[in-house]
Amino acid sequence: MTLLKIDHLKKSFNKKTILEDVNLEINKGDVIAVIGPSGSGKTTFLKNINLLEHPDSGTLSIEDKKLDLSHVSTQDELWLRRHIAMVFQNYALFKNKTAFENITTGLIYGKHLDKKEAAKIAEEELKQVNMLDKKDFYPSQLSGGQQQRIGIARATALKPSVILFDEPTSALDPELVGTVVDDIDQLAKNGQTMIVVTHLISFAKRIANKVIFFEDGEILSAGTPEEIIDNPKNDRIKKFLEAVSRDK
Amino acid sequence: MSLSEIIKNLLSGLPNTLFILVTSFIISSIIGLFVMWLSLQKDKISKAIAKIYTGLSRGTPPLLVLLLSYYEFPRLLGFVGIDANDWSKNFFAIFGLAIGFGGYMGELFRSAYNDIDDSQFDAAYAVGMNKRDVLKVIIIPQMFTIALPNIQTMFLSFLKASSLVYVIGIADMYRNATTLANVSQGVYQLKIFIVLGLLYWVITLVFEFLFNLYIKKHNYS
Repeated sequence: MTLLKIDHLKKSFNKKTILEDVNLEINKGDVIAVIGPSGSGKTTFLKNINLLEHPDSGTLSIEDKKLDLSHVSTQDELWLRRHIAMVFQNYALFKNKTAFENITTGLIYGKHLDKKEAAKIAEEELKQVNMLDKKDFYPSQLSGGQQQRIGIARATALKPSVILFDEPTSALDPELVGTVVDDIDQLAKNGQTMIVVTHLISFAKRIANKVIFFEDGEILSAGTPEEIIDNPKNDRIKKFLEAVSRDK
Repeated sequence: MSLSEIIKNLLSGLPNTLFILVTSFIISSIIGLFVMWLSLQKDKISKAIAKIYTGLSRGTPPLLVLLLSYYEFPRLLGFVGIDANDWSKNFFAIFGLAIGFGGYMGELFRSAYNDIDDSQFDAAYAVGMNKRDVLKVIIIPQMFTIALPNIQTMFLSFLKASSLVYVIGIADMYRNATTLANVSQGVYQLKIFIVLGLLYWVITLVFEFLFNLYIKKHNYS
């Protein structure tokens, strides 16, 4: 069953094309890994999906609602963000809020839940990522890995249809990557629909049922991890994967 | 003249000093926030207004602004049919100080606002918050925390600048000191002004203590 459908998404900035006619269809429970070289438009793609950046044109269908991305009302924008949450590369936790408040803030001001209900959900989410004992810590008092786990809890607390991950492990020390990867893997196993931009090819292979390769603002190739990562037919993808494995 | 007599006399001006200090600081902060808002707008006119006001405010001596506020502002009001001749001197003192320092406050808030990482906006919008809540709950509290050390410095500058209101005849601590020195034919002038300096220093220490207490309580970095 199609959950999210993006058609002809285009975005340019200062006359430079960043996204060139991107089309994507995602089923419920899909985990899409987005790979590709730096500057290929992967992050812009995610930010255009939840309208942190505004596309020039295209349509997005989710939950029986179809939005013309060139003219989205503020109301639709807020509605969309309640259905598509995001986890950031640099965690982007609210610096003036504790771990607990980072989760409740979205629930209270974004989903308009009452404080008691928000607190209950936040406690559950913190328990889920083993961070309940750090609930009163400010982001500056937490390690990168801990911050990212709060970032994930903040997104899952919203019970979104889709979660967008923008390179969730790339700002982490290598020894902290594992716990965050495990958390995301667990979400995938629980059937959470996700789009994950990553440079970790092994991680992409582990969690994704579909991989898309991005280059120059368009999807160059899409398929199963076996097709794209294990047996790439496209020379450009082969070259990219070789370069990535060399860097490792 | 005994020390206690001098202190008692000077302290009788303290309520006026504190009232003018706190009120003008609050109004100046509101002006500063408005100037910051103007400077962050995309249109050139708003930016230009903010820039011109900030330049004037920072480039004009506060004493001159106070004098203009007291002697010329009522005349200006008279042109639009408002009779301000009977208005309290405190009003003009507060108005002059607030206008004179508004440009500084605007710059102080603008630099604090620019220090906030873009990802804070992105994250707040991403959890479904509307623009007003993003500002109210995330951005403005962070902006104040970043600006707090500079707000403290500015507040203490206000304290010292508030002594200038003596030129328009307001009985603050400074005015009381000059009057007392004149009454005693200048015999106790040095003693009186040393006591006045010490009183300002003590008040500064009290405010520094209160600010530090607040900063410590609201520090999340």
